[in-house]
Amino acid sequence: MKFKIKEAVVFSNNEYDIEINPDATVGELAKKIYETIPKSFDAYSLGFGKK
Amino acid sequence: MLIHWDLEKNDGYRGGTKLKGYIGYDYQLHKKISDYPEFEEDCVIFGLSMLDWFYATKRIRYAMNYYDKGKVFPPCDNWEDGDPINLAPFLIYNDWGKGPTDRPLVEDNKYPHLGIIVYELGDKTHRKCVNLHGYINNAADSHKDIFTNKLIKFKSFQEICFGTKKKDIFTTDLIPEFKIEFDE
Repeated sequence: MKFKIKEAVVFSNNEYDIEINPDATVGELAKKIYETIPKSFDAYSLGFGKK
Repeated sequence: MLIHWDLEKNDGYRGGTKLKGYIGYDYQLHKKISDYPEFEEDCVIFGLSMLDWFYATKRIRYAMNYYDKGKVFPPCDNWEDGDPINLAPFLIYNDWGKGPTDRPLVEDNKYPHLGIIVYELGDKTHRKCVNLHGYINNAADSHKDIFTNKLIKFKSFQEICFGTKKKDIFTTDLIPEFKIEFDE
C-alpha cells in the first residue's frame, strides 16, 4: 500500500512517499512515518482525518 | 492514501479536512490498518506540533511506549473519564490553555504524575488511572479507595507512597502500576 506524506510544518513543506503492507499494524504505520520524516516521537501527535 | 502534515491551523479542521481521531488513542497501535475501514483512499494524517491544543492529550510518544513493549494503550479502563478526584482529563489539567501553568501536583495530570491502580473485585481485575498525588491525599484522609469506597490495606497504601516518592518517570517510561488490596 502506497502512501503520500505531506509535511506542512513551519519552514518545511516537503512531500514523501512510503509503502506499507495493509496488514501491518497502525503502530508500524506510525513508525514508518517517523522513519520517513526523521523527528522524535515527542515531536508530534497524529490526527486522522477524512476529506 | 494521502498523509498530510499541517501544523498551521488550530481548529477541528486541518487543510479543509475534519479530524476524526488520533493515532494511538482513537486508532490503537496494536491493531491492523485493515481493522479500521476509515483507512481508505483520500485519508489524511496530520502531524500536530506542541503549538496545537490537542497535542498534549494525544501525544504519540505515550502510545508508542506501550506499543514498543507489546502492550495495549491506554493501559486502563477509565482513560476517557479523566481523574476521579480532580476531574481533569489525563495528560493536562482543568483550564488547560488558559490561566496559570504552575499547578499543584494534585491538579496537574501530566504523564509523570499518573499511576495505574490495579485491584480485583469479584472475578474481574480493574485497572484505573489516577493522579497519584491526589489519590494518596484522598486515601490518607479517608483510608479508602476512591473507586470502590473500600478500606485500603496499609501495606498497599505504603507501596503507593514509596513508589511515588522514589519514582523518576520520564516520557519514555510506562505509567507505574500499583496493585492494591482491601481490608475486609
